[in-house]
Amino acid sequence: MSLIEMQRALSVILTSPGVRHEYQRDPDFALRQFSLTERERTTLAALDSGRLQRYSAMLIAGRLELALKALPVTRLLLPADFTMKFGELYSRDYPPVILAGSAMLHEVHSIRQFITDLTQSQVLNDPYLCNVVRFEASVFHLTNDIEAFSAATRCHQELVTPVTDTTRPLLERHVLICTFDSDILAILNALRHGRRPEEHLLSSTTILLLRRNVDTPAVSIIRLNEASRELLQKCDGATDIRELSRLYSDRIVDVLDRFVQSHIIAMLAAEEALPTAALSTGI
Amino acid sequence: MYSNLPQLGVGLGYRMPLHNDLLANRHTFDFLELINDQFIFSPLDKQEQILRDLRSIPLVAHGVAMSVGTAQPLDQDYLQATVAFVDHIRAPWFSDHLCFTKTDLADLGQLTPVWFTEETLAQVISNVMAIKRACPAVPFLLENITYYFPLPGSEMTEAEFISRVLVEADCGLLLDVNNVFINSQNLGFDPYDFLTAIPLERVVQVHIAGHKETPGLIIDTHDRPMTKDVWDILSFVVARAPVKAVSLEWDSSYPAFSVIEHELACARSLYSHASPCL
Repeated sequence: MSLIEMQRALSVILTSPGVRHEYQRDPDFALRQFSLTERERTTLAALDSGRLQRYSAMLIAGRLELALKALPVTRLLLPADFTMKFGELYSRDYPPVILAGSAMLHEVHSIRQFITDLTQSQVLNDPYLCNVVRFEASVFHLTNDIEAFSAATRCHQELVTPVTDTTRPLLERHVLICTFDSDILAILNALRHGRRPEEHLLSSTTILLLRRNVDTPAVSIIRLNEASRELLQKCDGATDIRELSRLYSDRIVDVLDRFVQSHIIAMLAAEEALPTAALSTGI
Repeated sequence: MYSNLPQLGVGLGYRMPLHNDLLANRHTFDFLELINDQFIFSPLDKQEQILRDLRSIPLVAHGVAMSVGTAQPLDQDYLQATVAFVDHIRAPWFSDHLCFTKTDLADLGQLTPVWFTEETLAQVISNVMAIKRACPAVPFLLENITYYFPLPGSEMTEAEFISRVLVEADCGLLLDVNNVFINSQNLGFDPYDFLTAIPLERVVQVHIAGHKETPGLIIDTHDRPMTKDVWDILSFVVARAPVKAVSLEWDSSYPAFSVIEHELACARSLYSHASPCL
């Protein structure tokens, strides 16, 4: 039909393991789903199948490498043959998509979910893997996401409006609150120094607040207790001070002010709209 | 043709893991080539932190995702972001690859060959003209890629296709000599025949890099020193083309910087002694 349809067909053969296997069994059958001219169909059917397979493997390896560059400690915990063993499954479960932003950021999110799925289904058995990939992906997200940077800048520049009953605290996208079912910081420290973490580190829960800095592309890490986590999760830009004071006490304003001074939350005046894509996202 | 462009000399592709080495070994290179894509989707402070450190170094911009070979109009957001970046770093030229990397169904994320036909040619020329219109003050170069499988039924050779794009769209060439060598071995042609068939007078920049030999296929890995065959091709090119810049690409398995320095010194030796335009 047109050149673009031929390029679409080639793209799908290269990136979809199912279509590629079908193509290798019976090219004409696999190509039927595309509106190709006879000449285009003949060309695609005559591609060197072995080279095509190797190129597909390179595409997958390239995607995984892009993501794992950002996750150095996670990489230490993966089996040496991870790409060879799981590359095709990754390609099937997380096919490449059209992006408007950073490909690396997208791959990091995808690989984090993929590794989490493999761990939860006990295909991968390293006890530290889930928490480590979640931590590293969160830090990478905060340092590389343009929205997180914008939110950090906004929160830094925000004039603290006089706090009234109708003021609404807001935890923005430059902050992530993550609960880990291990002492993730001690585990990371051990792994970064080439040591196997001690097993007792797996038994403690750690709540971390990760905040994107505004002066450098780095993340500050603050340990939270359960009460602080609960309070910050109520800073959703909808709940106002009156409601929070009712739930806690009048002294909550002082607590929230400390979070404002630390550029963790912003205070929205009653009439102020939520910034676009403002809310902190769990990762 | 591009005589008014600056003679940049011998440089290196900027990669984050090399950042400190580059700053510590500033005397070993004349310029850096930045990958647009690593900057245009990054937060401003991250971009500026890097660019602040590089502020005294001449920079050129090199992209990997313009996808001039896609049989559709260019991604305007990507194009505009690229043009803004080129302007921001005051690059004397910018470049991307003669290939397609995406369709509206999938982003391959890799440089994939186009079909060498009249229809593709018209589309590529149209896309290159759109780039030139978007950035009329800065010359745009196209780079030849490595590809591992040809598309049968092409109406012309790769050399003819490249030549016609360059002439008909009136743009420059970023000649990757490692890619020429790899393709010649994997696809079975004489690299020197290829070089004599393309308009070498349009070469502005040359890429050099290392590759890996595997059973039945040479892979473009950018992770090791260049082989003699590639040095020989570089020598051939700089003796015949008005090359303004030669840059080394080293993307992974980073060695001690002295290894990279040695590659740069070899390139400088060849370039300064052989280039007809010096």
